[in-house]
Amino acid sequence: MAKTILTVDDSASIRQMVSFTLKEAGYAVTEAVDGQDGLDKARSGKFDLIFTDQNMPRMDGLSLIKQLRALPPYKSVPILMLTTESSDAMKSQGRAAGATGWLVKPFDPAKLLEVVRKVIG
Amino acid sequence: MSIDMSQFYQVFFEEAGENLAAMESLLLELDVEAPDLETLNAIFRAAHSIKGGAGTFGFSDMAEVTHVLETLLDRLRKQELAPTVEMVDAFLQAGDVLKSQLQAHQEGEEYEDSRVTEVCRHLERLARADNAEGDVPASSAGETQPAGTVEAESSVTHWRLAFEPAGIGQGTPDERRALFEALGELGRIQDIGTGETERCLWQLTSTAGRGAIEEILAFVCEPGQVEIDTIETLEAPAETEAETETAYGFFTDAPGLQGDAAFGEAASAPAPDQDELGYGFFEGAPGTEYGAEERTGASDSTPDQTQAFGFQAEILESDGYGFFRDAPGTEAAIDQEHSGYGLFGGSPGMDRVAAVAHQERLDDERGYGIFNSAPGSPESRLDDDASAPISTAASPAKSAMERESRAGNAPKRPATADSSIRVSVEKVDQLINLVGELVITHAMLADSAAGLDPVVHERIMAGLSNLERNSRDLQEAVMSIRMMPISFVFNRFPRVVRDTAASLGKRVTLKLIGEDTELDKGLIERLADPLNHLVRNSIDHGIERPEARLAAGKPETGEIVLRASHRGGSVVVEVSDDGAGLNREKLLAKAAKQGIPMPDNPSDKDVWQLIFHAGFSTAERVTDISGRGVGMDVVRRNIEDMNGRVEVDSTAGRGTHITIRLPLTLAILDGLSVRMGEEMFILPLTVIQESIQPRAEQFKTIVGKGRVVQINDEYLPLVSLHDVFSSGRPEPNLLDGILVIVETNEGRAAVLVDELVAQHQVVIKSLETNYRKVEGVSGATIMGDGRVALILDVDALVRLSRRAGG
Repeated sequence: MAKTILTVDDSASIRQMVSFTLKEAGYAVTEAVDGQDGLDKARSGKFDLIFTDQNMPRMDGLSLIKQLRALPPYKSVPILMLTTESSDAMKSQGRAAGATGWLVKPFDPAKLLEVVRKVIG
Repeated sequence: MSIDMSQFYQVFFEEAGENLAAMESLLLELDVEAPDLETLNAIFRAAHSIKGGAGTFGFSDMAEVTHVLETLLDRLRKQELAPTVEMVDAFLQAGDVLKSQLQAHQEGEEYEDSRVTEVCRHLERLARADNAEGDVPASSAGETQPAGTVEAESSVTHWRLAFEPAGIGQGTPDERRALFEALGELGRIQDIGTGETERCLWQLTSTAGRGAIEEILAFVCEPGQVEIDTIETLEAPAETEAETETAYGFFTDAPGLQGDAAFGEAASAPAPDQDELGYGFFEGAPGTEYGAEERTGASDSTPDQTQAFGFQAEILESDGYGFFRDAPGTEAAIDQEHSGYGLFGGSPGMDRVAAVAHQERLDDERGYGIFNSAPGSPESRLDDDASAPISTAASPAKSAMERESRAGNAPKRPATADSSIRVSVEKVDQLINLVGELVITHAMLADSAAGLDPVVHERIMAGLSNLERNSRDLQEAVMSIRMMPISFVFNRFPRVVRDTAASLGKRVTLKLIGEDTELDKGLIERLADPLNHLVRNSIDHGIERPEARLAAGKPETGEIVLRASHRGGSVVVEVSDDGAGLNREKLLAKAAKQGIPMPDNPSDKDVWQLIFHAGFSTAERVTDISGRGVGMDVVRRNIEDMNGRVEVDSTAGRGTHITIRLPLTLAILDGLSVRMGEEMFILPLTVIQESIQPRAEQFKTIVGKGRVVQINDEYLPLVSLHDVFSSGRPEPNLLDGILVIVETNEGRAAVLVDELVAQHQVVIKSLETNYRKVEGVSGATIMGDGRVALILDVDALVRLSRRAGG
């Protein structure tokens, strides 16, 4: 069965690119438009991997990660931040929030797949 | 697999356009004196989003501009700088540059202009300025983003302070708050920890040295109880480059680690003992945030630890990525830093990643298998993974849901209130077209059934009336897809007014009313130009200079009101100003000079209509804002092209009021079908005022004006469809016909028809697309009996009739 991935980003173009790339590679992808939507979708689904943007309306990526980690089903699901900030401060915040890793924007589809394959095969 | 990125361009263009528009309107509403943090954040987000997309899709010129934009915005939202009017101007200019760049990309070109570098330089200069080094309020410190990319000053250092509050007598939040604030005196302090009480992690951005920090800490604890490290900050611009390969910092906030030295090595040195691919192992342990027992456990199981740290930390770097490790023996705990992404060792989810990594090590296909063989069996990790909560769901309900979604292979998405999809306009238009056909089919069916006995064919009749209701509902629903709030046009005006007024040295405020009024997308797009012209005109010619206003006893600041509303089946858009108003004498003098015929005692309305004459401008001096004389006649033609009409009203000294009346949509029309001879015509309901049975004495012929009809002391031009369309048949007796009084742009007129048939909604089909443009006719429709009826354009009819008769 296809692995499921949730991609949370308020930018429709990035979302579509991520979603298209992952679907082409055979993953089942669900899109969410912001942190709150991501949380709702995560609650009502089951995902093997979650990508989230940091800067989003309603709920940002770090808050989303914190909230997800509080949910038993997502305690140990890999969650990666898509971020334009690769500063140490950002990373340590991500780590503190419970992120599994990060992927710097801009990235290309090949890089995305490399990461996904690395993380969930 | 290679993915064609260009397929996402369109979405990016739309999204970037929306973000730019949002940014602009937020900037315009930003109160520089009392900036709203939420607004600043939203502006930042818009810029940030554009930057992310532009970078991803390879529009590096836009990414560069948004980067400098974002840098300054970031300082604003962090309250390091206070916004100024100059900044807002610079932001707006940057927005303009981005719009130009976006448009160029949409056309497959590159936008090259010196403006780009000018704007960027300006923004950079503003971002460097240090006008208000405001402290971040402690209350919001928890949420505040750490700096990281913004500080341009080289003397500023980011200090990371890690401690166990209970261990230094700072167990209560209040105690911590006091220390937090004390440290805040040195610069900007932020809580970057997890919020756990066992361990605190603060970041202090300050020009102060280690000594100053230790001095403050000395009040509460022994030296060494609080770990003080510096954090290197990466140069921000690297992020915007397409190649981020080398732009990685390595996160090594190791407790007990002599931060400066160890970190320095980690951050600056590439993998010391590895090849180009860059696999490297660093000493340096991340994981300050992890619970103590985790660390203890880790070191217990790894007897071969470096004694100095109590546990070993490694960074595996490959082709720019690396793995940090704080608990050897479990790949899960390795921080991995790759080119452009990284994984946090020991973080939630890593055990799953580790399982994969373990497999990869076995396969060793891509060379990820160079983890230190460490004590601790990966299998035990896998066991852990198996017992991870996800597979043993917390509640039966949850696991049921999981099963269900697994079975469905795609998790059911809950309907969210704001979920929407993007559909191309063509698809919607096709839908509208099909509904139009359905309406016509229904009309035909109804026509055929008209001859049936309703008692005998009761069920058919009932079915038909159901069909009618359903197709009307369907039609409305489909039409509503194309409807957009007029705010799409209105929203550009705050900027237009701001810029125009500023360039003319006038003070003008803009009031928008009824922005939610919806009308057809096609109309909205075509409304933009005429409105733009009217608004600029109002500012240029209507609103007086501040001195003149004060002298006239008016407030210094003029006001322009844009109002939209639904009235009957049409949308009314009004542009009014409280300026000087139109000057009757000037207009008449100008008309005389240009040889425009005017009645002896023209009404105000006649005079105001003069401004719509081609080449008619009363402005004494031509400005680049308006007044080239190509304005108002074009405005009127644009609006007439939309089946709309425009009226002017003005009071000297009080202002001018322009009213535009538009149909709701260009696809469907409420019309009255009229018969003339054998032909059917449709008159738009919006133009009809009344219809009367004429008497012989009402018809008169006036030299130079042709035939007229006298109605209540008013002589209206008579439009005979026979004349206009040269039916070729002899004209029937005038007294047998019916006069429909219509409102045109040149006043009222009477259209002579044989018979009024019925009122109905008709689907407008373009004659131009299907045949060619015919003067006097705005379109055609298919009637219930299958015949084609022409939709009359009364304005053109009057012109034609005058030509034919005169």
